[in-house]
Amino acid sequence: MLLVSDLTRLFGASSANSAGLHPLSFSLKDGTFFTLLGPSGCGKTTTLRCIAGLERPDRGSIRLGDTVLFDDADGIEVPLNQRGIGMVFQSYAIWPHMSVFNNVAFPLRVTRGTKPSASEIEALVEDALRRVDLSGFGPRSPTQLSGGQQQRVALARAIVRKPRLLLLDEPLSNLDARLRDEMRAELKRLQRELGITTVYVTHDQSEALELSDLIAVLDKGKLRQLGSPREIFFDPADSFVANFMGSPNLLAGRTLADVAAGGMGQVELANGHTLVCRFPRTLAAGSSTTVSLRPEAIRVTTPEQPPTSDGEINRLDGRLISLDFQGYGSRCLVDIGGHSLQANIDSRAGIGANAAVALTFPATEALALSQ
Amino acid sequence: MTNSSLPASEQLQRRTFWRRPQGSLFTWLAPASVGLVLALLVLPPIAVLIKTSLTQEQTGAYTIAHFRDLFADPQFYTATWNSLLFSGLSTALSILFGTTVAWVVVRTNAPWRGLAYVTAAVSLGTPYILHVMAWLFFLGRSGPVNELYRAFTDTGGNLFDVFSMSGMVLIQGMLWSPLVFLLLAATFERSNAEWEEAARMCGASIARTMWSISFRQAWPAITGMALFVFIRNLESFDVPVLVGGPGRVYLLTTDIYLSTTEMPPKMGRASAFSVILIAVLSAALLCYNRYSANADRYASVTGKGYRPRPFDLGRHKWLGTAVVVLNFLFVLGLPLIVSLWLSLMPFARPFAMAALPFATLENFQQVLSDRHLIGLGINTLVVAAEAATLAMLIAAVAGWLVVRHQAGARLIEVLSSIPIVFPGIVVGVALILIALNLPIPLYGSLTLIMLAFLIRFLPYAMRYAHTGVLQIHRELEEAAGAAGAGQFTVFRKIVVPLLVPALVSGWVFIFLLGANELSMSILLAGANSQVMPVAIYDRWSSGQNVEVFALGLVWTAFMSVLMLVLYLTGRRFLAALRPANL
Amino acid sequence: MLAASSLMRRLGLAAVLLPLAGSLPAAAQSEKELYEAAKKEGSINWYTGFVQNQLVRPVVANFEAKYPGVRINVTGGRDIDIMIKILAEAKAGGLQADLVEGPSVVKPLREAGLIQPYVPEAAAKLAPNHKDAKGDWNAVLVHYLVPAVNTELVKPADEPKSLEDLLDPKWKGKMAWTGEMTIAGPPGFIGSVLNAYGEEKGMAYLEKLGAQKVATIPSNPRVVLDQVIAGQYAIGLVTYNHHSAISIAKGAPVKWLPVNPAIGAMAREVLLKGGPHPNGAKLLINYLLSPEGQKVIQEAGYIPSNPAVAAKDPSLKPEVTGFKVFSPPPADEDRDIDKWIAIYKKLFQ
Ligand SMILES: Nc1ncnc2c1ncn2[C@@H]1O[C@H](COP(=O)(O)OP(=O)(O)O)[C@@H](O)[C@H]1O
Ligand SMILES: [Mg+2]
Repeated sequence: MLLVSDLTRLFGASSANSAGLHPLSFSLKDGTFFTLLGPSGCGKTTTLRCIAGLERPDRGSIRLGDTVLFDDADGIEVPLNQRGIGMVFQSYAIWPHMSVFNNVAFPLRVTRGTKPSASEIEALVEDALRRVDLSGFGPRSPTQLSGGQQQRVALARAIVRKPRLLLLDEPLSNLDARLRDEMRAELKRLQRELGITTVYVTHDQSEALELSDLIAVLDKGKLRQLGSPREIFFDPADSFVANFMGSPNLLAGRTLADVAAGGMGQVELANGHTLVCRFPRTLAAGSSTTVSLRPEAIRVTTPEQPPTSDGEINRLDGRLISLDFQGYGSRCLVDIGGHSLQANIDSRAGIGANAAVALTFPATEALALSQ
Repeated sequence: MTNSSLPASEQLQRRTFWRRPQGSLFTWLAPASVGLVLALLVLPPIAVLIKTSLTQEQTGAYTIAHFRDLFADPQFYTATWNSLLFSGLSTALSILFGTTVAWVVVRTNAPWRGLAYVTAAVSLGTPYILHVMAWLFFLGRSGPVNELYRAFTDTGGNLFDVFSMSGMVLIQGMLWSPLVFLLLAATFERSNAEWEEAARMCGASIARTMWSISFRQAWPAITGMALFVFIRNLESFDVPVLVGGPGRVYLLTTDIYLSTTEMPPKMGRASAFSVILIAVLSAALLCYNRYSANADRYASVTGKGYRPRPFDLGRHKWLGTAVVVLNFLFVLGLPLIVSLWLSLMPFARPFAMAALPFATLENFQQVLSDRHLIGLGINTLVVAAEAATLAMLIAAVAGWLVVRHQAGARLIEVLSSIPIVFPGIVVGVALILIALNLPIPLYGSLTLIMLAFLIRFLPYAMRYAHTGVLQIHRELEEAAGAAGAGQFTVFRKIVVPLLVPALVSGWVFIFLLGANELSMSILLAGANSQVMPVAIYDRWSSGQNVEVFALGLVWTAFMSVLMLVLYLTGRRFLAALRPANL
Repeated sequence: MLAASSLMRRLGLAAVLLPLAGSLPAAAQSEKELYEAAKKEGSINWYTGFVQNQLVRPVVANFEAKYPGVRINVTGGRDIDIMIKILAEAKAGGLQADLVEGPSVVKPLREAGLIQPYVPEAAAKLAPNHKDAKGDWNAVLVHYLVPAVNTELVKPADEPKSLEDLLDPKWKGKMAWTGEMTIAGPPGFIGSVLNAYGEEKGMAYLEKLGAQKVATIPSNPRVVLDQVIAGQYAIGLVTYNHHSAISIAKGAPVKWLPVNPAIGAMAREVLLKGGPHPNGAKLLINYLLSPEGQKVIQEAGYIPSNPAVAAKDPSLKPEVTGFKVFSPPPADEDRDIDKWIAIYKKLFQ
């Protein structure tokens, strides 16, 4: 189990919005694939480096299983080389002056307190290389390897001594798109196979959704939401998370009455319209609210066409500004007076630009989020 | 937490500070021992100079008379002005010349570019004093330049008086241009060719690209180097004494030297001069550090594995070759030809057919049959090699500590850069004074010369190590730490191997400086610790003026072969180690 | 700890020196005893400003052939560099030099208390002004400093015949002299002018000479002469006449001029107090003054101090060629040299 509590690491003057990491806590069960997700500069690497021991936190504690790795209150700090953590760096950090074999064998040779024999080392390295599909690459110089292969060497090096924890810092960001998909699958397989608790850093939400058991969304060093991929995707905690998870439609408004988490309630938009929305979190009456709407959830019709769906229906009238053909569906932009919304439309619906349209969507798809 | 009136940030810092002692032994031992060694090397010379400058020679009483006399002496102000003028002009000359050659060699496809490397390597293996003596003859009244002038003009006068400020600038500028070339060639090699190509794609001419991109890109490196060369020029000894002396152009270093060569030596005045010179140089050093910090940042940004593609000079490529050949002639060809001519003469004679029948190998015979020759050579190589090895060892650790901001980094950085303001003659004076007060028999030993070299060349070793560490991606070390290696193992297994190319280049550089250094060893060499440049100077100044050219040539030939061997083995050695992916 | 060990060193030094001092008045050691003692010491550190390929090498070769088992280590260079080294070594308490000679070495060595008086038997043959009564020094050879001209640049008719001729505007910027501040350099020249002309007229002359822009070569007079031979300068001002003779023998286009007054100087050999090989040093001094050593000096083209051994080229001597010599007694020289140096700095630097 990895337990991180109140982890703080600030750079420069310590004020509420200085760069770095504001108190962050999470706990991971063994074998969890955990992802730190957020835009560049939000503090993902800093978190990872704190766990690895490359960075000294200002405050907080980190424990792995029954070992305290860091605790500022007790003044405990296990040096990084005694933490027994495997890490893959963004630049791979493959040592150019050592062969692939020596790179992978390095952790076995330098770990304190263990003195594996040459044959043991050979066996372990072979096993690690096989797992990353690099059998037989041992004697090569890493400088002759492609980016993807270097990536695998780094991975083999990180897992060779069967660490309790694996840290990966944007390992796929330097690869081209196809290789990235390939490696993604492989990573997932490897992690399941080895059952290593993994902390994975990325700014790519699709990567996070596909790989993770648990995701933490960070923004400016603060934790925005912690949850399973489904939770994060379907029940974003706030507008930042919703936006980061790919929702382009964020409408500013105001909650009309107190609504408890999971309940339904009304939000008045800036242009005066009122929508019935689902509230993933409790919001008080009068609090400023953002309504998130996925384009896929919106039905675009001519104003005359009656709603056909059951359940509570929201309706907004507007004018179609632009239309982008994408095959069966088209992406359209609709002006609803003060807001423009993205929606999907059947390419054969016969609605052209500048036409008056009606947008309808179920209340369960309109998420009222704090700003 | 009791001190709640402190701002939060300060509390944080305090707490961090208190946690420090948790690091491994190495994280403490390394900075502590490096710091101690540096302090022991660097601080005593300053201390002893200040003390001597404030002490009356006969009585040993405290006095400020040395300084008062200096400031009251109009000569002092002339000397200061001359020093600045000389250093500025010769810096400009060597930078202009060296940069042009470096650019032609690295960034164009001019034929015969390789000649420039040979020129630089051999010229660095040639004692400065040989260069200077050859130039003095070449440009002198009876040298070919003035002879030709007289032959064509019938005036009986001289076109050029070499014993003048312009003569000094010319010779000094040529002395330093090979080094500028070598260092800037490295910068140009590292530069990002894609930037230049992008400029060309945008329609810029070669000249325009050169100006707006290539030189702008190299600008921090060039200015950093200019300051460095300027400082070296302020400290220089050979040219000011050998050229400025007879021409009565006195510089600060000349004055220090003259003070030590009075009878009895005026060490107090020399020390006072030294202290002032050190102060002036310190000011220059501050600028240098600011600039070189910038230069490093630039270099590390562009330090990716780009392979610069040369410009196609087209029809003009022979112009590039002309630059390379001219460089060869000025830097190496002419001095060597003059040396060869003189070494074959029974006494110094102008170039003339009439002198040919006098040609003799007697000088070479004398030199080669001298039973001290081998010992001299060995002494010189051993001292230079020892100093280079120690300097690079210290610098490897210190450079790493500094770049990685380990404990004490700032102090180590300052300590290791202090000696750059020590002119050789000053280090010589200081070390004599120190050795005189030590209970161990250091005086007159090779060890003392080695120590002087070590002190003086430490900053250069640091430059190499510093740049080298900067080029090692930090994550390479962190990965080793995460893999379980302690700091010492990381240093030994990752940093040192990756630093080898930088350490080797630094070693060669310091080795060459040491093998040709005169201003320190001239004061420190004893009966049993003679080194080659001092032997050359002694022979020259005591009147073996032609034999000395033979000795200089023999030594140059030997050093060139040595450099060739080093280069060939080094290239294979380095190729195996070259970190292609840093 | 530092103080203690330096005290010990001094005590040790004293222990070595005491019996030595005590033995001084006693009869001089026989040559054989001296040789045996020197052999035990093994080598001699000779600090010398003599030109290596003219004089030092033949002396060393002949000495070592005569006394096998005793090697001479030569530290050469300019007189001034040698003096600095000796004074520094002495200060360090680790004197390495055993003996030294030069035109102006006695005063600083005496002030530093570094002279070990020694009266070799052969000194008896020297003229009184060529040795020190107490044995502080003995002249192993004498020399005369005169102007020399490059015969390719200076026509016989133009050769300066007197000091006044040196003021001719045509020599402006074409004369050079050494930067060695000894009696065998500009100070000696200044002294000779003041001696010949008197203070007032002398200073007037020197001021005019200063306007001639005489180049100072930071080396010894041999180098100045070489530059004259090379044609860099037409006239070398203070040069050894025997150096010219040596070069003329090799065919060099040079000629020394018997301009009055020449400067008379001598190589005053000094045995150093506290050197590591005192016996070897004595052996070498004895050798240099012996008929055999004087012969080597003669052969090398230098002027032996022993009047019985003639110069190879007799015309080098004033009594043969008939030029006047300014040769102040060493005591006067030691007294006045600082004044002459001051004048040099004022008028020529
Ligand atoms: N050593 C440092 N000194 C100052 N600021 C830093 C340092 N390391 C990181 N930061 C700042 O902390 C913030 C978080 O950085 P990081 O954790 O690297 O972000 P990312 O999420 O992109 O990995 C950034 O604003 C960065 O500029
Ligand atoms: Mg990052």
